[in-house]
Order: sequence, then structure tokens, then C-alpha cells
Amino acid sequence: MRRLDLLIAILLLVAVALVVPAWRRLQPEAPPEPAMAVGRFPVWAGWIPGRLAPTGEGLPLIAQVQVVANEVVVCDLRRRSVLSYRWQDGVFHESILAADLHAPAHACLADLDGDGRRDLVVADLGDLFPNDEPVGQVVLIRDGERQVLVDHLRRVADVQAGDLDGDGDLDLVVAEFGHWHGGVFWLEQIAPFVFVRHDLLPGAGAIDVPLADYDGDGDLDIAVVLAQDEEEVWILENRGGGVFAPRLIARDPNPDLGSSGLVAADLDGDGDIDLLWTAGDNLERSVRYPQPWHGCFLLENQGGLRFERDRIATFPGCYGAAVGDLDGDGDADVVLTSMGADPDDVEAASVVALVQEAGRSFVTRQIAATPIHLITCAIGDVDGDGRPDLVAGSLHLHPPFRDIEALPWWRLP
Amino acid sequence: MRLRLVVLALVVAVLVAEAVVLTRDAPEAVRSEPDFSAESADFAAAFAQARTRAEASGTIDDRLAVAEVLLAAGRLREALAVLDRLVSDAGDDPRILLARALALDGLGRIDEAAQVYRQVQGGAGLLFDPLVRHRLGEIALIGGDVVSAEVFFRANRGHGPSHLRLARLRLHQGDRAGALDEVEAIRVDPDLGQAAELVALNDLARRLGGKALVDLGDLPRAGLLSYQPIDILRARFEEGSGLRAQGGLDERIATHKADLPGDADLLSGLADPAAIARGAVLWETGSCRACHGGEGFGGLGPNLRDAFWLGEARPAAIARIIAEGRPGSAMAGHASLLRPDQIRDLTVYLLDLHRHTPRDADGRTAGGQPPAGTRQDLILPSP
Repeated sequence: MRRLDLLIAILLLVAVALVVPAWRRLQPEAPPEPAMAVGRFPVWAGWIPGRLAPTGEGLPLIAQVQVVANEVVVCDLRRRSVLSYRWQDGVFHESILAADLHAPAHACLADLDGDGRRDLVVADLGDLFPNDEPVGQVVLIRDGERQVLVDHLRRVADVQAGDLDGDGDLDLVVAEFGHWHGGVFWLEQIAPFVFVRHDLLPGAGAIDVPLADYDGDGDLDIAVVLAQDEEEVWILENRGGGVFAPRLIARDPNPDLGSSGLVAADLDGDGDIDLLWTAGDNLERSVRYPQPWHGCFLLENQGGLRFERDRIATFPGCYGAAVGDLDGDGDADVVLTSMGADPDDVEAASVVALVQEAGRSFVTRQIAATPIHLITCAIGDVDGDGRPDLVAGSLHLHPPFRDIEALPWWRLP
Repeated sequence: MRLRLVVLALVVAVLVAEAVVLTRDAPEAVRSEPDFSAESADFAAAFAQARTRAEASGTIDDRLAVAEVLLAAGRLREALAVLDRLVSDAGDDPRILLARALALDGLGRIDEAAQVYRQVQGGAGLLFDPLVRHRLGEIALIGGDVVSAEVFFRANRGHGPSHLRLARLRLHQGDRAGALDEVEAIRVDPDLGQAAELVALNDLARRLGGKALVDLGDLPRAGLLSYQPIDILRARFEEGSGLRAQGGLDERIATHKADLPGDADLLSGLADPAAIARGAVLWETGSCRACHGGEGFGGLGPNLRDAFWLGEARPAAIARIIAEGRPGSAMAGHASLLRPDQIRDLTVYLLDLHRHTPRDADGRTAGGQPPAGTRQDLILPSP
């Protein structure tokens, strides 16, 4: 009998020794990790989602949307076209402004020769993917006729029109993004549609070149963001007579910052032009997880071409940015879109508004979590109801391939 | 007596139950099934295959392979879960630590990543790994700590990217001579990628100081093309007066050519489901889909599944186009992005896709982009 007691005691000890690991083994697997709280924000309810057009077959590759008056102008890489959408009788109607391009990245609508008719200038990357091949072009569409203004450029990301030399006609500024090599130059219009090229700033990664009178002296200056490794924002100060003085106004030592755009606007309502600098490009890291430094900086114009940098949003994958008065309180608000929020968090924001409150502070509100991969956005009254609407475009280069919508838009009731 | 027997029976039952619980899981990969449904079943196939091997053998190597599949698929959180278990089981195996550091790094958890990179640096096998040290420098830069970054880069003598990073820092500090010293350190072993970076460095010098830092001859004007076929790049490279290859480049080109798989090797890959699965992962995670469509029926780029070819309809020719691109077209070479074995796997996957595609008598597929190129029927062995 004692042997039986001994056996029971030994077995009990063994059982106790084993019960702990067995219990642990039975526990359900802990979730991989909590969702990134940084990608979610209090929701601004009430925005009604819609689409400009059906997405169609394949993955959307929208490079740019902009609102010009009530018209939405779209650069569609997949369709190799610049498209126009106008709201009429409760639906959007599409028309093709330019076709048979290679990879249109930006469309600039301006009356270049002053004949009262709108011309279209397109920054054509030539190839979406990084390389230094001379595949980029600046293309002019005039009265339906197409003319290549400049050929054999490295990939061209942006073109802007403005009277840079004060002679009354419009000139062009071109951002040659390239890959390892690129730069910014301007095309001086010396006669209708006759241009002379002047190089301004060497460097790869020029993605946006917004024009404005940043120093308040009455002429147009050029702002540049370089987004390729060196993360820099420059102002090319117009000294008159075609002379531009470059000045580095912001730089980040983080080589992975991922600068994604630059938008000019008077954010603080003090009458001078500030800049919004977005960062959220993840493509060169070959993984699709957003990084904690992604977000939006306000470069607040202090006068004298001094800009004070202030992070106004931390937003994973931050890419598109647009400025407008969303809440009707008379000050400027900001919309940001993400090209890659947390792929494991289906509720992570893809569109947020930075609502400006008293004291020039911005409060982030989530407008939408879907669709995703929104690389570009714009604000404007596209449905003619007198209230600002939001338009966005998606570029699907990497997983997750879900919640796909090429051209979503949102309106308030 | 009866009570004791009942107690004995209960204890035995508990023991049996525990034994079942403890043995039903072989050394685990991840317990929760990663959800690949949003992307593609191919991810799941590659993962399942690796996990089956890991469960059968239970070896550290096979379990690490599971983590590597997840890393390659960009499923960093699941990879990290596997690696955390491996760390607790295998201690400070530098391969596991490195994979874990990469996962943390990719997730943006850079402080933790830096900590693990330091462990890797001090571990056996990867002692003083220049890539790790360089990444530690970059992480310091991310945090704005330029002083620490310089320490890591300076300790990495002979590592081109670190010299280039230092050169950039020197230029921003207004120290052109210091920048030139860093450039000179790498010019004895010019690397194609580094040569491209020198062009960018020159641009930075011109932006900051008004003139180029080094004489690159005709390179910038000729267009230093980082994705060009290597022969063309080599020719342009040697045209540059300041960056003439001092031996080594020819060897590297020869190695590159020798490493590309031949027809027989690629056709044998069709009998290897693992190679096809690895190729599928590369297809999904790379940039192929953006141009050739999600299923390879074409889009911006040509239809890869019909019987029409812009080049030669031979397996080795496909591999070469993946590696070197097609001059004059948007198809970039990927030799700088993919290892030769990855180019092989991707080619095998494309061949497998091709042989599973129904085509009509004219060699066309139902749907997809219309034919481009010439009709060439590539008859592949049936699965």
C-alpha cells in the first residue's frame, strides 16, 4: 500500500511539474502585436464617400489629382493619360485631355501663349520605376495637338507655370526627379512656345516645385523638395533678370525620411506663403510598414526666407497633401492621404484632416480608412454645392492589394 | 484502497492529457496562421511548405527558414513572433539576431533594432559585420544623432556606403577636403552603385558649394544608368576619366554572367515546387505586377502568358531580361536588386505560369493584353 502512495505522490509531483508548461501551451497565441495606435485618430464623421469613376481592371496607378475650378484633373499612369472629370446631373463625366503618354506624373493647366485658351503641360516620368534613363519628357498639348517641349530628360516629376522673368508671358519650371541624378531647371519662354532652358539646382529626387512669392518682393520664387536620400527643401529666390539664388531652408539628416511632397499655402493666415512638407515614402525600404517619423511638417514663413519647422502630424505613409477650409471657420485646414498605412490594421487611417484651431494648432481627424494606397489628394468644390470636397487617387505598387479604389471622393452632406 | 486507485487513475489521466498537449505541436513556426488572403495564395503556399519542414525536423535552421519566408513576404510581425521564440530557444545565434534586427528595423522599432544589431555585432560569426555597423550609423542619423553616426561610419573603413555617408556629412559641414578624403577611400574599388552615388554626391557638392567634388569625366552627361545592362554600364563606366576600373570590374561582370542560370538549370527548376513557390513570392513582393498585371496577362508591360515574345522564347533569355532589362523599353534590369538564385526562382515561376496558361490556336490568351512581338511557341514539360 505504501508503494501505491509513493507512486501517487511521485506522479502528482510530475503532474504539477508538467501542468505549468502544458497550461501555457494551451493558452491561445498572443496576437502578433497591438495595432499601431499612431495610425488611428478620432473620426470626423459625416463625410460621404463616392468614386469619380469605376476602377476597372488591374491595379490603379494614379499619380496626381488636382481640382481646377470644378474640374478634377487626373494623371493616370495605367491609362497613360491625363483625364478630366466634371460633375453633371449627379454623376461625373470623363474626358481625355491627353493620351498616349508614357507615365504622366503631373499636369499643369495654363494659358502659355495668352490666347485665352487653356494649354496643358505634362510632366512625363517616362518610367515609373527608378532609373536614370533619359525617358522623361515635358509634353505640351495645345488645341488637341501634341508637342514634346523637352525630350531625353531623366524622369520628370513636376512642371509648373509662372512668369518667372516678369516679361508678361508664362515660363515653366521642371523637376527632373531622375534616380541618382536629376535637377531643377526653368524654361524661359522667349516667344510663344519657344523656350530656352536654364539649369537651376542639381540633384536627384526633385518631386514638387511649387511657385509662389515666398519672400514677398513681388516676383515668383521656386520651392523645391529633394526626396532622394538627401532630404532637403530649397527656395530658389528670384533676384530678377533670370537670376535665382538657391537657399537651403530645411533639411533632415534621416536618410529614410521619405519626403513625398511640398505644398505652398498661407497656413497661418498671416499673408505670407508657408510650405507643407510631407514625408511617408516607404518604397525604398522594400517593406511596407509605416515608420514612426512619417508625417507632415509645417515650414512657417518667418520672413526673410527663414522658415520655422514644426511637425503638425504624425501620419504613417503620409503622401498627398492639400489645403482648404474644410470646417468653414475661415482658416486653412489640411488634408493628408497615406500611400501605406499599417497593412495589418484595417482601421488605420488612409485620409485625415488636420483641422486648424485657435493658436495655429492642428487637430488630426480621421476621414477614412479605405480605400488605401492614396498617393495624391486635392480639395475643391467638385459637385458645385458650395462646400469643399475631397478627391484622392491611389497607386497600388505593393501589398496589401485590398480596398482598391482608383479615384475616391468624399463630400459633406 | 478504492479511493487511492481513483486518485491514481485521475493523476494518470492528467499526465496523459498533458503529454498530449505537450507533444501535439512540433517546434512551432507561428501558432496563428498568417492571413495571406488579402494578397495571394502563393504566400500561403511558400509559408506552409517552410512550416511543414520546420515541424518535421524541428531544427533551428528550418524554423529560421520559416521566419525568412515571412520576412521576404514582408510579414514582419509574424516573422518577429517566430524569431522571438527562436531567440528563447537558441540564444544568441547571430543569424537569428540579424533577422530579428531586420524585422524590428522594418517595423520602425529602430531603438530595439539598434540594440539587437549591437548584439549581432558582438556575436560570433558576424563580428564586425560592415552592413550591421553601417545600419547602426543610419539609425543614429534617423534619430538625428550625427555624432554617433559618424563614429559608426568611421569605424567602417573600406565600406563604400559608410564612406559616402561620411562624405555627405562632411559636405554639409562645409569640409570639402574631408569629403574628398572619403571619396578617395572608395575610388580604389569603385562599385557600380557607388559610382552612381558619386554622381549624386557631386550634385550635392554643387548645390552646397558651387562645384563638383570629383571629376567623373563624361559619366553624368552620358547618364550613369544604375539599371542599365552591365555591358553598357561598363563601357560608360570606363569612359569616365576619374573612375577607371582598376581591375576587379571585369571579374565581377564575368561572375555576373556566369551566375545567370542556363536553360537546363531553369527547366529542372520546373520540377522543384519550392523554387516555384519562392519565385511566386518574388513576383508578389517585387514590382513585376505593376507592369505585367497581377496574373501576368500584361498591363503597362507585355502579356507574359501568350505565345508572343519581344525577345527570344528561351528560359535563359527570360532570366537575362529580368537581370539586365530590355534596352529602349521600360523594362529595367534587376541584377542590382535580385541575387542570381532569385532571378532563377523568378524565371522558373514565370515558366510555370506560362505552361499552365491555356492559349488558342493563334497563341493568344483569353483576355489580357494583345500580343506583342513575334509568335514563338515555348513548349514546356507538363507538370
